[in-house]
Amino acid sequence: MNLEIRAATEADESAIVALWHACGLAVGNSDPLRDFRAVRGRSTSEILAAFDQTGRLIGSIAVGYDSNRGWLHYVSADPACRGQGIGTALVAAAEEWLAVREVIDVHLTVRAANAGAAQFYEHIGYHTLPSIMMEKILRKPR
Amino acid sequence: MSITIEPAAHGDIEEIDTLWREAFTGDEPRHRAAAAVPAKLAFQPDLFLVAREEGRVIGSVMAGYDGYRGHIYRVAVRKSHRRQGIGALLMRAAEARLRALGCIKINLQIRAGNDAVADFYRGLGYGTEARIDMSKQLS
Repeated sequence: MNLEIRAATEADESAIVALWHACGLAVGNSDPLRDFRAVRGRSTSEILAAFDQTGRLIGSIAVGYDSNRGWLHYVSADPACRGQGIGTALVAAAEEWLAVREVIDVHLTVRAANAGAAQFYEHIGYHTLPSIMMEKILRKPR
Repeated sequence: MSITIEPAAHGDIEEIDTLWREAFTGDEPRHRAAAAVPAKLAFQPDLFLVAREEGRVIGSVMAGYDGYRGHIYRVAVRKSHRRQGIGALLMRAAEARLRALGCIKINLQIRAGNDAVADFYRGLGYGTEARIDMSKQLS
Protein backbone atom coordinates (compact mmCIF):
# COMPACT_ATOMS: atom_id res chain seq x y z
CA MET A 1 0.00 0.00 0.00
CA ASN A 2 1.23 3.51 -0.82
CA LEU A 3 1.07 5.54 2.31
CA GLU A 4 2.42 8.79 3.57
CA ILE A 5 3.56 9.16 7.17
CA ARG A 6 4.09 12.55 8.77
CA ALA A 7 3.82 14.26 12.13
CA ALA A 8 0.21 14.91 13.05
CA THR A 9 -1.09 18.46 13.16
CA GLU A 10 -3.84 20.03 15.22
CA ALA A 11 -6.12 19.53 12.21
CA ASP A 12 -5.66 15.75 12.49
CA GLU A 13 -6.88 15.68 16.06
CA SER A 14 -10.47 14.58 15.55
CA ALA A 15 -9.64 11.87 13.00
CA ILE A 16 -6.84 10.41 15.13
CA VAL A 17 -8.88 10.51 18.32
CA ALA A 18 -11.71 8.74 16.46
CA LEU A 19 -9.26 6.13 15.13
CA TRP A 20 -7.91 5.40 18.61
CA HIS A 21 -11.46 4.94 19.88
CA ALA A 22 -12.30 2.69 16.88
CA CYS A 23 -9.21 0.57 17.66
CA GLY A 24 -10.38 0.02 21.24
CA LEU A 25 -7.49 1.98 22.77
CA ALA A 26 -9.62 4.16 25.07
CA VAL A 27 -9.28 1.74 27.97
CA GLY A 28 -7.91 1.99 31.48
CA ASN A 29 -6.22 5.33 31.98
CA SER A 30 -5.95 6.09 28.29
CA ASP A 31 -7.97 9.09 27.18
CA PRO A 32 -7.36 9.63 23.44
CA LEU A 33 -8.17 13.35 23.31
CA ARG A 34 -6.19 14.23 26.42
CA ASP A 35 -3.27 12.06 25.35
CA PHE A 36 -3.21 13.43 21.77
CA ARG A 37 -2.94 16.96 23.14
CA ALA A 38 -0.30 16.00 25.72
CA VAL A 39 1.98 14.11 23.33
CA ARG A 40 1.76 15.87 19.96
CA GLY A 41 4.45 18.29 18.85
CA ARG A 42 6.68 18.17 21.93
CA SER A 43 10.46 18.13 21.95
CA THR A 44 10.34 14.72 23.60
CA SER A 45 7.25 13.23 21.98
CA GLU A 46 5.23 13.25 18.79
CA ILE A 47 2.20 11.71 17.13
CA LEU A 48 2.86 10.29 13.67
CA ALA A 49 -0.03 9.71 11.27
CA ALA A 50 -0.35 7.55 8.14
CA PHE A 51 -2.54 8.54 5.19
CA ASP A 52 -3.54 6.67 2.04
CA GLN A 53 -3.27 8.12 -1.49
CA THR A 54 -6.58 9.95 -1.06
CA GLY A 55 -5.36 11.67 2.10
CA ARG A 56 -7.52 9.59 4.41
CA LEU A 57 -6.10 8.80 7.86
CA ILE A 58 -5.41 5.04 8.12
CA GLY A 59 -3.06 4.75 11.08
CA SER A 60 -1.25 6.49 13.91
CA ILE A 61 1.43 6.01 16.55
CA ALA A 62 2.63 7.98 19.57
CA VAL A 63 6.38 8.06 20.17
CA GLY A 64 8.35 9.60 23.01
CA TYR A 65 11.64 9.30 24.86
CA ASP A 66 13.09 10.09 28.24
CA SER A 67 16.88 9.87 27.59
CA ASN A 68 17.02 6.29 28.84
CA ARG A 69 14.47 4.72 26.49
CA GLY A 70 12.18 5.40 23.61
CA TRP A 71 8.54 4.42 24.07
CA LEU A 72 5.80 3.58 21.59
CA HIS A 73 2.13 4.00 22.45
CA TYR A 74 -1.21 4.06 20.61
CA VAL A 75 -0.02 1.95 17.68
CA SER A 76 -3.16 1.84 15.56
CA ALA A 77 -4.37 1.03 12.05
CA ASP A 78 -7.83 1.47 10.56
CA PRO A 79 -9.61 -1.84 11.29
CA ALA A 80 -10.75 -1.94 7.64
CA CYS A 81 -7.13 -1.79 6.42
CA ARG A 82 -5.44 -4.42 8.57
CA GLY A 83 -2.82 -6.72 7.07
CA GLN A 84 -1.49 -4.11 4.67
CA GLY A 85 1.69 -3.18 6.51
CA ILE A 86 0.44 0.05 8.08
CA GLY A 87 1.55 -0.91 11.60
CA THR A 88 4.96 -2.02 10.35
CA ALA A 89 5.44 1.26 8.48
CA LEU A 90 4.36 3.31 11.51
CA VAL A 91 6.70 1.48 13.89
CA ALA A 92 9.56 1.97 11.39
CA ALA A 93 8.76 5.69 11.18
CA ALA A 94 8.69 5.98 14.98
CA GLU A 95 12.03 4.14 15.21
CA GLU A 96 13.46 6.62 12.72
CA TRP A 97 12.09 9.51 14.82
CA LEU A 98 13.92 8.01 17.83
CA ALA A 99 17.11 7.15 15.94
CA VAL A 100 17.70 10.74 14.87
CA ARG A 101 17.49 11.61 18.57
CA GLU A 102 20.14 8.98 19.29
CA VAL A 103 17.80 6.69 21.19
CA ILE A 104 19.00 3.07 21.21
CA ASP A 105 16.49 1.18 23.36
CA VAL A 106 12.88 1.18 22.17
CA HIS A 107 10.23 -0.24 24.48
CA LEU A 108 6.53 -0.85 24.32
CA THR A 109 4.01 -2.77 26.36
CA VAL A 110 1.23 -5.02 25.18
CA ARG A 111 -1.77 -6.06 27.21
CA ALA A 112 -1.38 -9.71 28.19
CA ALA A 113 -4.78 -10.44 26.65
CA ASN A 114 -3.50 -9.13 23.32
CA ALA A 115 -1.08 -11.93 22.42
CA GLY A 116 -1.62 -11.33 18.71
CA ALA A 117 -0.05 -7.91 19.04
CA ALA A 118 3.00 -9.43 20.75
CA GLN A 119 3.41 -11.79 17.78
CA PHE A 120 3.28 -8.82 15.41
CA TYR A 121 6.05 -7.02 17.31
CA GLU A 122 8.21 -10.14 17.47
CA HIS A 123 7.86 -10.42 13.71
CA ILE A 124 9.32 -6.92 13.30
CA GLY A 125 12.29 -7.40 15.59
CA TYR A 126 11.02 -6.87 19.13
CA HIS A 127 11.59 -9.41 21.83
CA THR A 128 9.65 -10.14 24.97
CA LEU A 129 11.36 -9.43 28.29
CA PRO A 130 10.60 -11.48 31.40
CA SER A 131 9.65 -8.41 33.40
CA ILE A 132 7.10 -7.82 36.11
CA MET A 133 5.13 -4.75 35.03
CA MET A 134 4.04 -2.38 37.76
CA GLU A 135 2.09 0.84 37.65
CA LYS A 136 0.78 3.61 39.84
CA ILE A 137 -1.80 6.27 39.08
CA LEU A 138 -0.62 9.67 40.26
CA ARG A 139 -3.68 11.63 39.32
CA LYS A 140 -7.13 10.62 38.23
CA PRO A 141 -7.83 11.63 34.63
CA ARG A 142 -9.98 14.69 34.32
CA MET B 1 20.84 10.29 60.28
CA SER B 2 20.35 13.29 58.05
CA ILE B 3 19.45 12.35 54.48
CA THR B 4 18.76 14.84 51.71
CA ILE B 5 17.22 14.09 48.32
CA GLU B 6 18.32 16.40 45.52
CA PRO B 7 19.12 16.47 41.79
CA ALA B 8 22.42 14.86 40.88
CA ALA B 9 25.40 16.85 39.63
CA HIS B 10 28.19 15.88 37.25
CA GLY B 11 30.53 15.59 40.22
CA ASP B 12 28.44 12.69 41.53
CA ILE B 13 29.13 10.37 38.60
CA GLU B 14 31.91 8.43 40.28
CA GLU B 15 29.87 7.75 43.41
CA ILE B 16 26.81 6.86 41.35
CA ASP B 17 28.95 4.40 39.39
CA THR B 18 30.02 2.74 42.64
CA LEU B 19 26.41 2.62 43.83
CA TRP B 20 25.13 1.09 40.58
CA ARG B 21 27.91 -1.49 40.33
CA GLU B 22 26.95 -2.63 43.82
CA ALA B 23 23.22 -2.68 43.11
CA PHE B 24 22.98 -3.88 39.49
CA THR B 25 24.93 -6.69 37.92
CA GLY B 26 25.62 -7.26 34.25
CA ASP B 27 25.11 -3.67 33.11
CA GLU B 28 26.08 -2.91 29.55
CA PRO B 29 28.53 0.03 29.20
CA ARG B 30 25.84 2.40 27.92
CA HIS B 31 23.82 1.84 31.09
CA ARG B 32 26.75 2.63 33.38
CA ALA B 33 26.89 5.94 35.20
CA ALA B 34 29.60 7.43 32.97
CA ALA B 35 27.19 7.32 30.01
CA ALA B 36 23.73 7.40 31.56
CA VAL B 37 24.19 10.24 34.06
CA PRO B 38 25.49 12.89 31.60
CA ALA B 39 22.76 11.86 29.14
CA LYS B 40 20.08 12.35 31.77
CA LEU B 41 21.53 15.60 33.13
CA ALA B 42 21.58 17.04 29.61
CA PHE B 43 17.98 16.04 29.03
CA GLN B 44 15.83 16.02 32.17
CA PRO B 45 18.22 17.09 34.96
CA ASP B 46 15.47 17.50 37.53
CA LEU B 47 14.51 13.84 37.19
CA PHE B 48 17.81 12.33 38.29
CA LEU B 49 17.82 12.38 42.06
CA VAL B 50 20.36 11.22 44.59
CA ALA B 51 20.13 10.63 48.32
CA ARG B 52 23.03 12.13 50.25
CA GLU B 53 24.31 11.61 53.73
CA GLU B 54 27.02 14.07 54.77
CA GLY B 55 27.60 14.85 51.11
CA ARG B 56 28.09 11.24 50.05
CA VAL B 57 25.78 9.63 47.49
CA ILE B 58 24.01 6.69 49.12
CA GLY B 59 21.06 6.27 46.76
CA SER B 60 19.68 7.15 43.34
CA VAL B 61 16.56 7.18 41.22
CA MET B 62 16.36 8.04 37.54
CA ALA B 63 12.87 9.07 36.55
CA GLY B 64 11.75 9.77 33.00
CA TYR B 65 8.77 11.34 31.31
CA ASP B 66 8.09 10.59 27.66
CA GLY B 67 5.14 12.96 27.38
CA TYR B 68 2.64 10.17 28.01
CA ARG B 69 3.88 8.01 30.88
CA GLY B 70 6.32 8.46 33.70
CA HIS B 71 9.05 5.87 34.10
CA ILE B 72 11.23 4.92 37.03
CA TYR B 73 14.67 3.41 36.57
CA ARG B 74 17.75 2.74 38.64
CA VAL B 75 16.37 2.83 42.15
CA ALA B 76 19.42 1.95 44.23
CA VAL B 77 20.57 2.32 47.82
CA ARG B 78 24.03 1.43 49.14
CA LYS B 79 23.97 -1.92 50.92
CA SER B 80 25.24 -0.21 54.06
CA HIS B 81 22.14 2.02 54.10
CA ARG B 82 19.29 -0.32 53.18
CA ARG B 83 16.11 -0.89 55.20
CA GLN B 84 16.08 2.69 56.45
CA GLY B 85 13.39 4.03 54.13
CA ILE B 86 15.80 5.78 51.76
CA GLY B 87 14.39 4.04 48.67
CA ALA B 88 10.91 5.23 49.62
CA LEU B 89 12.18 8.79 50.11
CA LEU B 90 13.72 8.71 46.63
CA MET B 91 10.53 7.32 45.10
CA ARG B 92 8.29 9.94 46.75
CA ALA B 93 10.56 12.71 45.48
CA ALA B 94 10.61 11.29 41.95
CA GLU B 95 6.83 10.92 41.94
CA ALA B 96 6.40 14.54 43.05
CA ARG B 97 8.57 15.74 40.17
CA LEU B 98 6.73 13.59 37.62
CA ARG B 99 3.38 14.83 38.94
CA ALA B 100 4.55 18.42 38.55
CA LEU B 101 5.24 17.71 34.86
CA GLY B 102 1.63 16.63 34.37
CA CYS B 103 2.31 12.89 34.49
CA ILE B 104 -0.78 10.92 35.48
CA LYS B 105 0.63 7.39 35.51
CA ILE B 106 3.98 5.78 36.21
CA ASN B 107 5.02 2.48 34.66
CA LEU B 108 8.02 0.53 35.81
CA GLN B 109 9.50 -2.85 34.99
CA ILE B 110 11.34 -5.14 37.35
CA ARG B 111 13.12 -8.39 36.66
CA ALA B 112 10.91 -11.45 36.91
CA GLY B 113 11.45 -13.36 40.13
CA ASN B 114 12.53 -10.27 42.02
CA ASP B 115 9.76 -10.60 44.60
CA ALA B 116 11.41 -8.46 47.27
CA VAL B 117 11.56 -5.56 44.85
CA ALA B 118 7.92 -6.09 43.83
CA ASP B 119 6.94 -5.95 47.51
CA PHE B 120 8.87 -2.70 47.92
CA TYR B 121 6.87 -1.09 45.12
CA ARG B 122 3.57 -2.56 46.36
CA GLY B 123 4.26 -0.86 49.67
CA LEU B 124 4.49 2.44 47.79
CA GLY B 125 1.13 1.96 46.09
CA TYR B 126 2.18 0.25 42.86
CA GLY B 127 0.19 -2.64 41.43
CA THR B 128 1.17 -5.31 38.95
CA GLU B 129 -0.22 -5.07 35.45
CA ALA B 130 -1.01 -7.95 33.09
CA ARG B 131 1.24 -6.57 30.38
CA ILE B 132 4.01 -7.86 28.19
CA ASP B 133 7.24 -5.83 28.11
CA MET B 134 8.79 -5.72 24.65
CA SER B 135 11.91 -4.04 23.38
CA LYS B 136 14.18 -3.63 20.39
CA GLN B 137 17.64 -2.12 20.10
CA LEU B 138 18.25 0.30 17.27
CA SER B 139 21.86 -0.03 16.18
